[in-house]
Amino acid sequence: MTATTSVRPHPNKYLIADMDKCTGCETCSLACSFVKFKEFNPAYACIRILKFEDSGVDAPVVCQQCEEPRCVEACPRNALVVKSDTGILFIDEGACDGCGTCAVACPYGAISTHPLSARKNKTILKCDLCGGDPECVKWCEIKAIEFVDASERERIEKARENLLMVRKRFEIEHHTPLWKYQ
Amino acid sequence: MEGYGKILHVNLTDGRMWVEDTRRYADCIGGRGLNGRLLFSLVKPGVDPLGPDNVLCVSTGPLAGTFAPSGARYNISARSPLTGFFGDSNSGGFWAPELRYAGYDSIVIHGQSPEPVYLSITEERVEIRNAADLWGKDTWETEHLLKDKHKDQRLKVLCIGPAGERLVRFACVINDHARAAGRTGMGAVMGSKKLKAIVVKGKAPVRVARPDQFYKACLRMVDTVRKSRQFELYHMSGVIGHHGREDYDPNGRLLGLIGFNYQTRSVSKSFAEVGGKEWWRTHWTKRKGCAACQMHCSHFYNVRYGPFAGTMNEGIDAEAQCWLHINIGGQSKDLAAYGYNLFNRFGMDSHEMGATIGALMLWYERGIINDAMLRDWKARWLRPKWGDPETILTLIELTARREGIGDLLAEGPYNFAKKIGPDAEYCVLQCKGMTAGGADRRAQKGGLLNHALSTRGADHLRGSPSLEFYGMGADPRIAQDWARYIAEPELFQYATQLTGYKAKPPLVIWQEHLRALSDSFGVCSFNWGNWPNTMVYPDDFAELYSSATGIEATGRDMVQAAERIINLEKAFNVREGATREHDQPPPRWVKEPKTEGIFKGEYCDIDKFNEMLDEYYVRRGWDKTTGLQTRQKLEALKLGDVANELEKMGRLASVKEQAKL
Repeated sequence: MTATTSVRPHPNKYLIADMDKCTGCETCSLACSFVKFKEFNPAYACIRILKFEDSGVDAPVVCQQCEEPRCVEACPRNALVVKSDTGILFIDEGACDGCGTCAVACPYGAISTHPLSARKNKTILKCDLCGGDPECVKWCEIKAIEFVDASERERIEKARENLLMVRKRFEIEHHTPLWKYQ
Repeated sequence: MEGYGKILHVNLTDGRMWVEDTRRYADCIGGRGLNGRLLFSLVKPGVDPLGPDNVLCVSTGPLAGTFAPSGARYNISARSPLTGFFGDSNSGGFWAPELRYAGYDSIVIHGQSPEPVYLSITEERVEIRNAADLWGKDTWETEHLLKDKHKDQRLKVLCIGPAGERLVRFACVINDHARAAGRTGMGAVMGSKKLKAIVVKGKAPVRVARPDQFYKACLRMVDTVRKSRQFELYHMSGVIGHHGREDYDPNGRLLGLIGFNYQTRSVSKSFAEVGGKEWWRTHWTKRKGCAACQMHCSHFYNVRYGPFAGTMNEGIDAEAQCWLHINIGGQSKDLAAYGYNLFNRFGMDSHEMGATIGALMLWYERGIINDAMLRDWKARWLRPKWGDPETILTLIELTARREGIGDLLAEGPYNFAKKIGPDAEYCVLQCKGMTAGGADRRAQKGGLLNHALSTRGADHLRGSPSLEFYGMGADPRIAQDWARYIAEPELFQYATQLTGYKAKPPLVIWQEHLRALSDSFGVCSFNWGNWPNTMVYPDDFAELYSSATGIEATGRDMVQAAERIINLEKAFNVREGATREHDQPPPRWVKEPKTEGIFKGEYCDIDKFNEMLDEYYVRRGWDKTTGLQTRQKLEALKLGDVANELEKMGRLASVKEQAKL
């Protein structure tokens, strides 16, 4: 996936994660849950850390702001939109009815639903880069998550590849979709 | 929950459950402080620690589950089956925040189940479930099985292994695969209640009273920690930060700290091999950390070559490395890594077991035990020479299973020593029946005092002052802090003299308070309780406390809370028969000066020690001679009920004694 021609306006910067640096402290998830809801629970966050305790793997799972987003394709209500000035893909909460199809469609398992959601009208948790100034990055001491320029194509693609692979590993080992891991 | 949630009581004898508001106990903060308050009220003196009347408290504090740095920890406490005194241990990871997301700050376990069970907790329901298929499994297997059974790979598991099930008196509790509440045998208490595990998953939020203020205060704390000396050391070199690093302290003070061959040697060629630099070169692959912590002191190892290839885990813990290598003449880091994994999986304290091995090796060297005695103990194969790998590994396994000689060792090294005789007892470095750590405190006089006073037994984590290692010319703020918080300014120069006795009592008191607060807030001492390695003060605790709970508090209130916590633990011990005789250093540190190294000749002068002890008691408002508490002090701390009970037992300082103060 090295498309350089975008099918949509793209963000200037991307959130990328290095799973060899990530310590699994989940401070990013706490920061996210706090800025979104003024409450603490990593299950409310748009960035989650996938852990394999036996082998020490800690992989940040977060929206990759795809050029050809499958969530947009899947959404029956066109509730996933790109803001034209920032290029950021986010959820229009007015249009969203919480069906959760986007979560199932995401190839990175990066979209999840708030655990206290009503069954038929879930609150969707998808990273919107905090409008362009991501909170999680500020709290990550070890800089496992970085907010990098769009020109860093190679790093962005490598991070996505790793995330795809770690998702497959999780789903093979636990027979559960990654979007439910929270 | 906002600030505080609920305390869940469970009686395993009849299955009853009830809750109360944690806020009632806010003046004990939470965590360790809450446990002390609950145990004093709920446990009668003299109960069998492994019987149904012992009570097990598992509590976290009001910062756990938030992004207050290191808001990740819990304390587990009961009457200790190892010592008979206040049993208490602390652990990090991710279990404590999850408990808070389920709406609870604390779980109190009463009674005893007739069959193996585990407790399953969510914010919607609490269940006592059958654990027959888990009993006998090691802690890692247990965690996997429970996550699969509950179909939740994010389930948080706290459990015991075979050692706890078999009531090894120093069995520990393991949570989140790689974290341990190691000391004082809390795993055995859980085992005696046939409680295999407590699993928790919480979907509810933790809220704070003043979010904006809390946010700013936490960011400030993160910055403080990031700039601290503690960070510099532990971020780089893991929890073994002070091992193998001659360069850490230019005065070489730390070289006087480490003990080899059960503290009978002070120099060793192998020491450089066990430092962080070597671990990075050979085994470490990355850094890892507990919830909400930026220190990232827990590194991940993967042993790639040799007989233990494939050994992986977070660690190694510093004490474990002492007791699997440094202190017992060990030669192999790989063996230490493998042994450490065994301790995690068996659920057994690496420290107490390692001290047992060290004691055996020393007894053998000094002729206190011999081959005939080993034969009697069904260990004719044993050759406890320093560093012998077969000795180390076989004894770990046998003790965890209580087989052969392991059944004797499982009683604890000091209890075992008592069966052999006074020469054996003398060799064991212990206070109140719990063994001291791998560090040699003969040179560090404040550390010596702290060990003797520590309410759970010989231990540096309740108040060994780091200031003693700094010397003059350190950060000028330190002298200001001394004058502001600790004692008279003219005493400061003595406080930084490692080998001096002067000014140490107020320094130890200060350190005890910071540690008591850390342990009660649900945060980590590395971040909050180890001044001046981190420059954190009672005012900092007060600000986080107020913005989290909405309860107004000042730094003075925090110091008073810390005093309250210490006094509760002290009273618990007094009730179990502790006297001034139990606040004494290990005899070997008194009678045997160091024979080599830069602190050759240092030892504990018992007269000077007792002068320190007198001063400590007076500064604490206790009787100078007996160390007993006074009604005046206890009532000032709102512990009138404690004073009444101690008075009924004749264990309160008498009015006549009080008049002398």
